[in-house]
Amino acid sequence: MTVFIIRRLFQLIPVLIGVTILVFLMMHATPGNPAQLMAGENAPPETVELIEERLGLNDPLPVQYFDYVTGVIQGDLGTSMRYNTPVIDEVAPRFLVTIELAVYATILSIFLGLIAGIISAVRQYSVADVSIMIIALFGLSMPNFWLGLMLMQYFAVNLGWFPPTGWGSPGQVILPVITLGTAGAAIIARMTRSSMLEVISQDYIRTARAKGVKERIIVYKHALKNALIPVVTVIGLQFGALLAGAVLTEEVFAINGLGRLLVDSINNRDFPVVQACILIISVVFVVVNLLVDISYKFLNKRIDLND
Amino acid sequence: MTNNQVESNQTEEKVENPKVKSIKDFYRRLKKNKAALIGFYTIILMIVVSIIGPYFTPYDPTSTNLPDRFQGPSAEYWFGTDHMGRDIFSRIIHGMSMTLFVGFASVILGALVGIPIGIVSGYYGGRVDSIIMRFIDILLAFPGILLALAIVSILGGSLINVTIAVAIYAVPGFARIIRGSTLAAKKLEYVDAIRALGAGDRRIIFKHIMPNVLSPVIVNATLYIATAILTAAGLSFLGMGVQPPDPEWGAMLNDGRGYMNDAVHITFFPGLFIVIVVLAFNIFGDGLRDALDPKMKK
Repeated sequence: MTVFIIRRLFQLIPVLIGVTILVFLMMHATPGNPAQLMAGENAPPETVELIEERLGLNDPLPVQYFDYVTGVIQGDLGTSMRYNTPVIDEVAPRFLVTIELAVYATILSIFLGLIAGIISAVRQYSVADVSIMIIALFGLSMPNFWLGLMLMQYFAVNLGWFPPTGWGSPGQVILPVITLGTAGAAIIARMTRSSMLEVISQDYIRTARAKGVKERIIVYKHALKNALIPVVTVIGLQFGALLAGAVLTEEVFAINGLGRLLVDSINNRDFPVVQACILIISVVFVVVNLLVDISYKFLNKRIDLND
Repeated sequence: MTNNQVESNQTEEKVENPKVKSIKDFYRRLKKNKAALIGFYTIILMIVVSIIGPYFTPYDPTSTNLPDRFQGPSAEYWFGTDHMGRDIFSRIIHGMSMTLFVGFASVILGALVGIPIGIVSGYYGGRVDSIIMRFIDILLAFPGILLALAIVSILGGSLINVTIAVAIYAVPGFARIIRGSTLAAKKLEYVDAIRALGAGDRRIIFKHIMPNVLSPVIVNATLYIATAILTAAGLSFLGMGVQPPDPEWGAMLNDGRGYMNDAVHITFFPGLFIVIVVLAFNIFGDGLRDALDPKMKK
């Protein structure tokens, strides 16, 4: 087990290096000279040159990349061009908000998705199953920003049940979490259903039935445990999708999270902040997927960890 | 109860030949799935509307008419008017071609790049495969809309740039799926037999591997179109995709956001149409999967 975890951690390194290279190059591919942007349009050339020198923009690309990565490892994500503050100070508080939003939405989607998926599978082709699958299809097909706007208009503005915007109080949390979690719940419900159906049709379940094991025990003890394995992968991928989807949800509900910061920074061409936001979201995503991989071990002893 | 149905499904699967012989055969399988058929016809209808619809809309999609702004839905303005007095129904019909264009073009582009990568990776294996797959892993490390957002922030917002961004986002998915199918197809006995007969790599790839990986390509392409449309609409909603006054649905939603209290219909209808289009592709894709790949049928 420890060997497996260490090996997976090592496999993470090339991916992380690749991600930092891509994010680093993205910054360089953007049109315009960052030094000029920082100095302002009418700045004298000497000032621009000075900033270029200070930012190390005249160094060869590999040197710049090395400096960048060394900085990132030490927690230095650069300086915001807009606020002239360390990027880490801008990013850190907002990162916590986005993680909170994504975690709540993940919990909601797992909860709803598993229950709906199990009901659907156990009562295949019943009214409940068909309704759940139709609702799931809609959940999957709805742009979450539109769902958010509609929920906000109806429940927050018309009915006045919740504050329409912001983040922090329990009332402010509910609508954004539903908005962000719906698509995930739909995907998890569909996955759970098909996975459960596959497991239920297997021989060992038939044997359990023939032995006279109670249906409830068959479903929850025998079937669900094995059916959960593919569902866990989907949950891992969903968490990443939710982190990215938070960009839109935060925009709708005016939540000051990482996503909103990302969009604002793109609009203001504050590239160090853009770079940091993209880097953080993808690193979190990669790490979460690693954790998902490891959790397989606990769910299914049959998985060959040397593979 | 349910067990019998599950079992009968399985026997059916065993009888059904997974390889589709002809378009007619494919249609026969599709017809069994009512929902998929509805999705298919909805897509056809939307394509027709996007082509001929703009000639029949009651109003010009971009001409403003300030005295009539914020009108609710009526016989005159079916879906009402927006903050500039533009007819929302006409704008939605004109915007349909943009939505479908992004969906189809980005997925075709993504498939054209992703399929060869996947086939080369799966067929040749070894070092080529590990290098390609590490690179794909890196691209997959940017979840959801994030990669597209990063690309559009570099390229700038326009219909073509959004299409390119969404296409790049689709490439790793295609490459992975095709690699998997190629690996499976490569191991088929008849491929060995053909190689023993002296067939070259190119012949094996084009004549024998390609037809085998086509089914997953078509199924995933259809489902990707749904995702692509949602992603593109999201980019426009953030103001980074198609720019106003073009009647792109995501951009229309963004336009209407500021006026939700007075005129919810400005945001309601474009969103509703995004749901309909995406739903059609999702239902059709689900049905295709059942029809083309009986093994996946659950």
